[in-house]
Amino acid sequence: MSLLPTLLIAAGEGGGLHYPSIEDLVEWPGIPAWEGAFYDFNKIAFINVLAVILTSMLFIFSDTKSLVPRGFRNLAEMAVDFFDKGIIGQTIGHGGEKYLPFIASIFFFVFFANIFEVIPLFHMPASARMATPLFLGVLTLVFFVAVGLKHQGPKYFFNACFPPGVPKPLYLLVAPIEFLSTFIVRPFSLAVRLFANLLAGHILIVTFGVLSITLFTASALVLILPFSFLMLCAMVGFEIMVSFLQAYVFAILAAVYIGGALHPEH
Amino acid sequence: MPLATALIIAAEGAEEASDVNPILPATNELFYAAVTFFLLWALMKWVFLPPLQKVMAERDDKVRGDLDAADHARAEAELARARYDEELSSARAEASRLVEDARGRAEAKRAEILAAAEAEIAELRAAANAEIAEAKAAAITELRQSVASIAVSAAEAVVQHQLDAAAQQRVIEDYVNRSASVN
Repeated sequence: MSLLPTLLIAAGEGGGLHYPSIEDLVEWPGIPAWEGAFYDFNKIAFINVLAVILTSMLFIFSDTKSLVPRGFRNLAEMAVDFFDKGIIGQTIGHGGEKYLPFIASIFFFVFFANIFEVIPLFHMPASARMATPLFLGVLTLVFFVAVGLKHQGPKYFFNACFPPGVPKPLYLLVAPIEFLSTFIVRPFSLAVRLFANLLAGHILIVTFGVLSITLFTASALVLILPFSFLMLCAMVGFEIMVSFLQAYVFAILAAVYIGGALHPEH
Repeated sequence: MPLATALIIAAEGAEEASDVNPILPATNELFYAAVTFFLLWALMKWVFLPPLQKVMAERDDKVRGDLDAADHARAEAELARARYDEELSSARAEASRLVEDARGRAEAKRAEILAAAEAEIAELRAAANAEIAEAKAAAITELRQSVASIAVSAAEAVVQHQLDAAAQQRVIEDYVNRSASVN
């Protein structure tokens, strides 16, 4: 359900604080004719499409004819430099340049999926629904396993589960833990971290929104309204930071996992 | 508030049909997440990043080339400066040598001229001394003759007769010589 109707329901139900249910906060009906189909197009899908369009615009408007960057190209070059040196160079190292498209896509996709939390008329991060984080987490798992298999062969699974330097009897304990940690916990933690952060941020913004609009209608409590509204504004700023930070964390962890699969000795 | 009412009705309508799970992923959202992400990945890999990376690499190459050229030019300038310094010091040494040579030659010339002048002076002085001595001797001789002649004349005048001039001359000369030896 959209934030505005939710807030209006909260305000319009005869006074008092009426907080919408979590289901109301994350439900986005799609096109009625496609309802129930796997291609049903709702607001989350629209945000995903917008993430592609906005990222594309950044690069389409970047003039690559001259050697001197201007306008959007400054931002595009800064981003590419940041991915190349700040993420790949620090985590994957030598041979990591070819993973730049994947890492850049992860970052931009997650960032735009997050930032719609604070964009008027949207006020919903696509990452606050489990589909986007789960897909990206599983894709990252598939990607780093593929990198491991390509560079180490089938021995990759053995190397991943049996780290060197551990006393042999301890492998009974270490091997299952390593297996779970690498192949189950990694994608799960990637997905849940992103999903939980963005859902929590969304709930907090709705909470302070509901509180503000409730205090606005209840005249006796209007004196508290500035504090609630201030918190709402602060949460919007905080969510902008979280949007960037979560995209960065997702990208850097994906790079770390790829680096681990590429250079097992590290 | 028609807009708000409409939104409330729409929201309530959605709420009634709500069977969404806030945790589990929806199939359609998974589908669109996959489609859009693969599209973005493909665009990044084949359309957006290659030209940008190419132009960035070209710029890096150009900057590196310019820096290398600047380093090369600086090294050349250093070399030229070293060569110039070397030539300058060699020219200075040559000039100093030439000046020393000239000074030596001038000194030798001066000494030569001085020696010649001194010799000439000595010669002139010797000639002058000889001339003076000759003049002096002549003057003395003339004086002697004059004194003798005057004395004889005076004596003649005193004695009223001619004296033996030759004998008187000898007497006078003898006197003069003795006087000269006394003086």
